[in-house]
Amino acid sequence: MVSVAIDAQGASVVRPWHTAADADFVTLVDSQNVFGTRYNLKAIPYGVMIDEAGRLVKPPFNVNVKNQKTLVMLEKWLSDPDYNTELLHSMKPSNEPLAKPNAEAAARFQLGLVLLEDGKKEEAMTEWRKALALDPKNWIIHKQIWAVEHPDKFYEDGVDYGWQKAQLEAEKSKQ
Amino acid sequence: MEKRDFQLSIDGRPVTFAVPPISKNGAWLVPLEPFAEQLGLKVEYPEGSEMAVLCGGVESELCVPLQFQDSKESAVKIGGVTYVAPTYISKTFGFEIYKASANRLEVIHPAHLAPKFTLPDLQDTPRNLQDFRGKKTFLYVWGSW
Repeated sequence: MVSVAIDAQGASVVRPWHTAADADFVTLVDSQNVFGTRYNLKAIPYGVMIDEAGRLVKPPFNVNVKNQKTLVMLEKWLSDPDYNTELLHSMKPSNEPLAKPNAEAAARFQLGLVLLEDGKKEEAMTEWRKALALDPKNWIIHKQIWAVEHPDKFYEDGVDYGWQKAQLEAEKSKQ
Repeated sequence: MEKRDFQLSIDGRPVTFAVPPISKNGAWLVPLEPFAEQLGLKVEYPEGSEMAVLCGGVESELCVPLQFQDSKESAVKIGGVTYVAPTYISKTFGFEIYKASANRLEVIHPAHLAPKFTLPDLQDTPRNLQDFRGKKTFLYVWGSW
């Protein structure tokens, strides 16, 4: 297993989670949304299954690691070569897009990442808001805006999911 | 030369040959024509020349001559059958190779591979997806937010 953290703020916000989990797996830090772009992800957490030969055996899927069915499926995949073959045969080649990406939204999100790295937070947020307006169901953009604008709700005493729920309601009522 | 089991699959589907593959000088050779057909390549034998020409490919149409001589980059005739090295042919025409063992080869169309990426780990060491080749890898994608 390899974990990939999509975090514009980089390793400093990822490391505490990896340490707290006492993780013995590799954690990669994706501060430029490289992975999200390549795999066209719009939300997290997602699972990606890649076999020994480097083939994607299933489209990336929304994953809950506490879900027993998912764990059983993953264990079967790890132990049963025939199941890997079965998954491969039902997989479309990955050059057929899994979903059409919104090019302008992706470009504005990338621009925002560069601006944020240069310390231009307000300009970055302007780009991210435009990106979100173009791709409103993209939770990576949406929650990264929240994390940058309200770091206290994410990085002081852990993630405040109650605040996120309230924030979402407030945003909906404004629309 | 000896005959043993050699397993070859293309995009996860096992390929069976009417004339079995052979092992020569420690390398497996497969009959040219059925293998080329499985890869969607055309085979021609220009008149008056001691060669086969293969045309096709993953990204662009490519024609590659194969001399009849004893090397891994050529074709060899044994008992009326023309054999080639599957790794050389596959790579030449843009396919990826995964050598699961000495006797098991998987030929993969690049479109079946997971998109490549390079990302730093927590020690800031760049890691490629290819670093994890040879093991099943479950990528768990998350964020601290």
